[in-house]
Amino acid sequence: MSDLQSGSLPLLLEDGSRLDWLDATYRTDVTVAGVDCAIVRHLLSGASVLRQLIEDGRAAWVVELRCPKTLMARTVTSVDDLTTVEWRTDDVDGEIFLVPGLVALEETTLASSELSSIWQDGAELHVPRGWWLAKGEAVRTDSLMRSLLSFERAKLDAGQMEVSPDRSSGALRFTVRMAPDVFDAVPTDRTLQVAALVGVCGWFPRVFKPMEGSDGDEDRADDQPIAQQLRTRIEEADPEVALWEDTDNYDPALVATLLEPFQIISATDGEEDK
Amino acid sequence: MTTTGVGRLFDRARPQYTNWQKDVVYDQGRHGKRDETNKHLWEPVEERQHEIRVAIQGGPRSLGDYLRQSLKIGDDKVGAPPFPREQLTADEFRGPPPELEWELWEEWVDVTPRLASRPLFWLLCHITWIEDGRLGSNGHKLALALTDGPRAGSEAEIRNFLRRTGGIPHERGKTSVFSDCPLARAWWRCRMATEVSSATGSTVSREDAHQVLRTNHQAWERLAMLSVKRLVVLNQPAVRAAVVACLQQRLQAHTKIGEDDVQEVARACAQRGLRQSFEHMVGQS
Repeated sequence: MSDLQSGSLPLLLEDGSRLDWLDATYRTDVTVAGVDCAIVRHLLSGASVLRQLIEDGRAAWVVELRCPKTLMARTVTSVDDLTTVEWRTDDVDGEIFLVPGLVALEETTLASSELSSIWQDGAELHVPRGWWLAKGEAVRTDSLMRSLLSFERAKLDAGQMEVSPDRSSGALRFTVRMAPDVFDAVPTDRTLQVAALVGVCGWFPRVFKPMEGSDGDEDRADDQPIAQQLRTRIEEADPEVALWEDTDNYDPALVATLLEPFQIISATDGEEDK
Repeated sequence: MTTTGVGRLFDRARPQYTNWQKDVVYDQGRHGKRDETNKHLWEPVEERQHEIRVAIQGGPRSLGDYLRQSLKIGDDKVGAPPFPREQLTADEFRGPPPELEWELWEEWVDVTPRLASRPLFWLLCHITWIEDGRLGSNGHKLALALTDGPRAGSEAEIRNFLRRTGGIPHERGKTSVFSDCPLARAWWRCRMATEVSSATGSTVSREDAHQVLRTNHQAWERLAMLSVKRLVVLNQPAVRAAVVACLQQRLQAHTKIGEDDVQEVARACAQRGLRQSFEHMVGQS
């Protein structure tokens, strides 16, 4: 089959910006498990044709792992709706992105029954091997932030939130309990996310116990792995900022904004081709 | 593995690193126009630049001491990976020939990408190599290697020095280490050539891939520096390999590749990569 024949094929996009499918949706849910692992859950609905391709072994979920700073990129393929992506911490630095999607594993056909009218000419569509059938949005796995705090809906008065440390998993984390009204807004409201982070940063002087080595501060070590990661991140952003051991000058709000500097993330794949 | 020591010193040097760099390069936003009003701001920069030039002229020990003092790392052993040659000429250092790039890569193959992407790591390594006389045995030779360039003047010399010893990340961003520091660039170029060769199933040898990446600066720009700056499909090893394989064919046919070739091939591969996963296309032409 030539490329020209397959130059245009339906693609199910997570952001819904293409109207190839009548009622289908594709969403992903990413859970970062520690500093070297993420689990991507693929949520597909309204596209039984694609589901069938997966069940027949003709298509599979693919997650691309990309770390621009170290030029690292690779893909993980799975037939299960959960894709576990692992990486070596030595191979990455800075931001890590996951780009999920569904790929045809072999040359196949796609029935047009669930597609919008522009594809309804009765003919089956020929799909080449390797063709992207669905694509999710690039997700930044800010592993430090995700392993630092989690949000929980709680019975609190409107607009309220509470932050508390949680060592139940063995590693120190923070749980941000939120009233339902603010909890629902968290995924989209950066101000709320940062407010929660300020609350978390407020706990650092109480939960992190710096240990001095024989050379005093120069060899200081943190009792929690996450404290070391935070120290590194904050010092990278501003080497002069006061950290938790300097309780007089420590400023949780300043530290929170160093950790979450309101970056505008440019994650538009293939923009260069425009 | 010899980079553990560097990792330890890295944490100690990091708090000083950016401020030290900012203090030795002139920045109009920070130091004002070079007029009488702002003299108290820019004159100290010139004094610090003079200090660096004196340290370089003093030879390997003097420059090593200066850098150790600036980064507050004391006399601790840096633990840099071993240097494969007794000494490089200034030309070899500033533009390592292909065989030297491979020698360096073979010696430093265990360096992790995480460290290699950090300019400070390379600066710390350079301290050892400078002190060991690898980049010149006296002040004159060191100056030729580290500061000499087409543009005259103290500012240009100091910028050359910072670039060649790791980069100036606060000014030139994440790409600095890939383009400004010759030895870091050699490491990354050989690493990419090795990956590309592997992704093509050795259809393209690593030496041929390396040649493509060296022959045309655009090829390196597109495949390395663009991938660092943005999340592009060219970041995938299989797509990158396709680009290099196509360019290598053109190089064989025409003995050189131009900017247009790189643009055309990269664009075509990227567009196809957006529609198809190259890694899952095995069996396709």
